[in-house]
Amino acid sequence: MTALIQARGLRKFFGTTDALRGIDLDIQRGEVVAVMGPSGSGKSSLLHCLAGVLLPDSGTVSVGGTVITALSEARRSALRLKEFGFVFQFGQLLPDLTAVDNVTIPLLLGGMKRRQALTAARGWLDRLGLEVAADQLPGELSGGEAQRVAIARALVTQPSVLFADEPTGSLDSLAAENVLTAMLELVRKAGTTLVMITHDPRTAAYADREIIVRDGQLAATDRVGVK
Amino acid sequence: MNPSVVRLAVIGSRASWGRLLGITAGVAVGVTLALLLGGAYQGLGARDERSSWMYASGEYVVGGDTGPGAVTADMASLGDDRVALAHTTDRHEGDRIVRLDLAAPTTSSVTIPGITDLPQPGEYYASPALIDRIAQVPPDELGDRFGTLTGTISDSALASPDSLVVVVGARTSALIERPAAQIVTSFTDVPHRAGTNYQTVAIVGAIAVLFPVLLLVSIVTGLGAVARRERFATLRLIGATPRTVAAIAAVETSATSLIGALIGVLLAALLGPVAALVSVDDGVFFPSDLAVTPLTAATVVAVTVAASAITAGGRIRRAGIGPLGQTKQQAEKTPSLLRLVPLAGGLGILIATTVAVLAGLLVPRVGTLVVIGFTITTVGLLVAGPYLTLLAGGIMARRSKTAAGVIAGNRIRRTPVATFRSVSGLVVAVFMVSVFAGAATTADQSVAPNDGPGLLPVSTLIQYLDSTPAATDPARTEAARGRLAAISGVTQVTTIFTIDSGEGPDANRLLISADAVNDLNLGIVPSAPVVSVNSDALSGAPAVFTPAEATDVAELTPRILLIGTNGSPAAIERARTALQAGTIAGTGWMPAGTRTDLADDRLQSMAASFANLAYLGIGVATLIAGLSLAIATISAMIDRRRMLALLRLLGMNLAGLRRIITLEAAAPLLSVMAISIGLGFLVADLILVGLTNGGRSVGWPDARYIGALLASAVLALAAVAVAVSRLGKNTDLAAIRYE
Repeated sequence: MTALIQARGLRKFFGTTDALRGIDLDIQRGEVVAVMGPSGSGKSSLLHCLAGVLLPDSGTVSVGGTVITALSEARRSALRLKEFGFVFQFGQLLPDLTAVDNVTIPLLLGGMKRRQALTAARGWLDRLGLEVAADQLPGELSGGEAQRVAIARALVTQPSVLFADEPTGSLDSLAAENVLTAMLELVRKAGTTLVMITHDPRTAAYADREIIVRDGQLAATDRVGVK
Repeated sequence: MNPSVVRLAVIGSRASWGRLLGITAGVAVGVTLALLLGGAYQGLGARDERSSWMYASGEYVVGGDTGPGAVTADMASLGDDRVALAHTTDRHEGDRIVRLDLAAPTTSSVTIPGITDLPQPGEYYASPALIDRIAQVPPDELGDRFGTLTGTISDSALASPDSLVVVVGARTSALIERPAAQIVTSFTDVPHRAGTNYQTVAIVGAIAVLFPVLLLVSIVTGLGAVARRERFATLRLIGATPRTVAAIAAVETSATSLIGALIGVLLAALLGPVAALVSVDDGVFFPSDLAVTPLTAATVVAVTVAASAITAGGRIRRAGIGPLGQTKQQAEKTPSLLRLVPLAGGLGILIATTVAVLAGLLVPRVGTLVVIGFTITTVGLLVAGPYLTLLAGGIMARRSKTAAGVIAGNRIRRTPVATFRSVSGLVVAVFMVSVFAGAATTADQSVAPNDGPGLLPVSTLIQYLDSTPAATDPARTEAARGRLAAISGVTQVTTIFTIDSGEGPDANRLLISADAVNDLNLGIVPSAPVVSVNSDALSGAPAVFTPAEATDVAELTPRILLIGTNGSPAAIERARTALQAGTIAGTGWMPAGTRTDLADDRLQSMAASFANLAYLGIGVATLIAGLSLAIATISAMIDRRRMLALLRLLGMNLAGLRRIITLEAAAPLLSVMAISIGLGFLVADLILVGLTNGGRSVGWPDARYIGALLASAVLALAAVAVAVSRLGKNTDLAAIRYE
């Protein structure tokens, strides 16, 4: 079976720092992958290279057969809009927009009419239990609510891959549990591939596979098998 | 304060130097303009003082008086300490010439500023501008009016290099026949006119121009706070108080402003000769008029530096930089409807005044009410701005169909105060220029007298004859008529008469022989030997003729000569020169003028000059406001670089981001500009209607106004474009860390 994401010989430098030192990685369609490792090990650099946010200094990344490292910035933007979703630890919602407006943005960027986008966005917020919070500003939401809004925004375009960087890192354990189960339920139901950075072994335990990055290299890749 | 702490917070990057350079440049421009306007204030006063001798006056000469001290035809009757003087306003090709006819014995001890000796009969002294003009046109069009040039009136006695002034020597015998000749003993202690409207405009402008400069300082300091957030946060973390951080910004800005202010002083000195070429009131300035005193310059520098430091310190304190490496989210208080109250109040005063005046009610101090209403409206516009911006943002956020529109509209809606601040300088400038340009349109209406069938042609000179026996002698008038008719370009000369008795149906009527009237082609003339014509026909009303009781003009007294010309300026000036050259007697009291000359050109000149000042003002304000807008845009961009980069991450391309930033700047700019323009013309109309009892109203603005508006809009948008061009670098995905 051909992997959805294929990375070959990825190397990335920041000044004299060798952040990625030749990483090869395959991720299957619908797979949930947890990326772990100590701080500064290169986890985020790897995720950003896989998503086309950063260009590696050498090596290639292909998604669905398209070599994204050879694409122009405009083509990579279009690819991110159509195929990828992103969730980060915090501060990812546009502070001037209500929750529902935040969720409509990717749809509007894709050319959907505003009315339809609002309807779709409200549907996603409902699925994540955020009916009441839909018209609130990010500053008025709790951390867990804000993360669920971010998940709704990431999934509203029904992307092939969801990239998540410590999505529960700023939440208490109860909120983290809620966010994680909601996100996993949605990605598994949609068959979306999830690449998730985490420091938390309990979070990693939800993944199909665990990757450990150390000093810019893959130290281990294990099946963990909790579904 | 420890210098090394200041250095840590201030110096360090190219951006820091660019920011300091921005403050320096903005302050330099502001101080330059403030000093030039301050110079104009002083210069306007100085030139009024210099030219005050022209308004010397004294007791009127009483013709035929032979009592002790009476002035007679004998020049010696004046003695050594008195001169006879007649003051008139002459014209040449539309420009006014101040003409003083003076009779004084050669032994006179009276002196005139700027002249070495008093002119004797047949001689004259003229200002340099008039001498140049005389040299450029044939003598029979101007020079022959005055006699022989004896000397130049020095600049020290003239308002402006453009001043057209002539002092003509005359015989006492000629002056005592003039109804308005006066006996003057001194030209040196004439009180000069009190502060003019122009001085008010200049001083208000000098103060107002510092407003956008302080706005610029505030915005640039805000940019500095955003750009150095981490540095300031580090200082806070190691124990610096908010006051210390604000003090650092104040010290930094003081030093920068001082350098900018000193550059401004230098620039003002260098640009003085260029600024002097701006024509205000009586003409352009002498360059020395615009030079300010060292004390004034020092005061402007000190006030600017102090105000900049206070503004910068306050701005940093408001930024609320905490010790945790993040600026506190400064949620803006939503502007309320109450912000419209001052604007409504100002407009209410203007509307109420206008309605009351139009209703015929007795309104005391209309002028003061109008000024108060105008001032409150201007301040009200600034107070209402954020609320209007909020409304504009709300509409945009609700109606937008694109991601860029939704994001920009919501950003404007959430930060209306900050958004309006960046365009407020331009808003006030556009409002002011709209008011002045609106007022100027009415002046244009007043200086273009109608010309057409039934109306006295605007190419006809009207000469009122002196009311002396010599001037109204029919034989002399008839001879003068013949001489005028022989002038090249003069098509006909018509005499208008009155009756001496002052009684009967023809009393106080203007009478013309029917034959002469037919030659004028002014409409239907009744069949009668002599007809009367309405007096306002001379000022542009349709001529209406009625039969007169008189039957022979030979029995009447000549009062007015109508000299028809072919309309060429040369023909008009030849006729005017002949009338003043002494070849035609009795025409000295009021020099001949066309309907255009006699119209209220003074109002035109005032309004046009104000409009010119306003155009100058909008140019300056636009430059500074454009700079402010660019910096505010860059500041907002840096402040939100993470959010903007996030949008790129979500798939928005750079063009989409540019649309967001451009919309955020352009939408409030264009919407409040539209409101400013509408309000400006409304206020202009209310002022004009109120002050003229409904006699005047606003017309269409001229092309200069449209051009000024377009230029300001283009410049402002160009400033945004420059800022937006840095967007790619500021939102580079590789430079932002997402976790």
